[in-house]
Amino acid sequence: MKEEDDPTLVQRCRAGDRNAFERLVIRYQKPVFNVALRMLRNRQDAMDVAQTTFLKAFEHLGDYDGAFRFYSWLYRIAINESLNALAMRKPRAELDSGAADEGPGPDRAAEGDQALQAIEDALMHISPELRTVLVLRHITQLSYEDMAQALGLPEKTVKSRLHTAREQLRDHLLRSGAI
Amino acid sequence: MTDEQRMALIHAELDGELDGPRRAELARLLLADPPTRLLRDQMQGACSRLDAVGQVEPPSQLQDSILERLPPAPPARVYRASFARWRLAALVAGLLTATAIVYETVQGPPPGSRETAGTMAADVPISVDSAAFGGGPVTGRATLYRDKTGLGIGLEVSADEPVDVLITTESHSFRINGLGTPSGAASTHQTVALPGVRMQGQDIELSFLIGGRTVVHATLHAPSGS
Repeated sequence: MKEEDDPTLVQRCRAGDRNAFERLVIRYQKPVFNVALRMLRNRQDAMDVAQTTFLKAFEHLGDYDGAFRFYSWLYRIAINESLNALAMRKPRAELDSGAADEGPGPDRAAEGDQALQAIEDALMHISPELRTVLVLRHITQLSYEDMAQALGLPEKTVKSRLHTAREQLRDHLLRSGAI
Repeated sequence: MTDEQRMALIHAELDGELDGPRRAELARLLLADPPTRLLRDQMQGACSRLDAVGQVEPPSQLQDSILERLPPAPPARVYRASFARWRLAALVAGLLTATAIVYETVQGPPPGSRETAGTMAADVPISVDSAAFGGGPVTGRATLYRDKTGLGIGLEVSADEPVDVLITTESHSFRINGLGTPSGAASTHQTVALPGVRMQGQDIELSFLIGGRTVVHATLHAPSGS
């Protein structure tokens, strides 16, 4: 069966077809969850953010501008929800990996090596704005154009932020002896 | 070369954006300047570790938790927009009717029937395309027709439960709620005008839903021109 593209599914959603929205959830739940997970470093919070992201997307589908890619719009909601969730946390919780993460999930245990731990620590020491560009570029593999759409920023600004973020990542990994 | 230019080259390499001359420039720089080589290796190491993190599978209950919380109705704004379009269409229709009445009053009585006989054919709906659908809980036939008011769809639907029909084109969406025959004894006939939809070589998608779930699709084609 031919897989329908995003604009077709969005059009059907707008006409009230919940089945079409379910297809979009299936298609994007993984990257949206991963954006939130790497922003928040907590599976439960990431799940809450992913859930809120899709519910808000459904609720505001009438506002979505079809000139932009649907997933860029979806990531934009996910990023904003992640930033909101971070803002609700106590400042210390973000830096304290033990407090932020309620323990390794099954995938974490499987992944669980020191390299991942070092990267997660480094990410959480970078400001959320810079962490956002690292996550979008290196975890979800977005292009600069898509990142600019998702963040509502000029490409030049996105590039500049990413360069700064990479350099800070290198500094943190160097300090922790990971590279 | 400034530090900024050096870093720009390193980032461009990380992004795979180096063209031939700049790649050669970076290669020369790395050979000539060990601190730059170290910096570049560290940047590559940091980014490759981040790339290696990859994506983990979301919790298995995530999808269900989202779908369970979806409101039963489609987005409210869409309904409001549709309603606004229909109100606009009704307003335009009202204005046209008023204009016609004024015109007729000013122009006097209409011509005799013999004079209008040649134009009557335009009043008869002409079938443009049709498609049968079925095999599931919903069966029937959809016919795309054209008459003097524009395009429309005739639906003949048999179903044991109420069926909602979504009609979508490249630019418009229409929804009909509650078609079907609860007794299953006979089919329901419904005609739907498609205001604003033109013959421009486009597909018209029909989705038939029971309980909010699509159970069958049909496609009609509106050829361009004529």
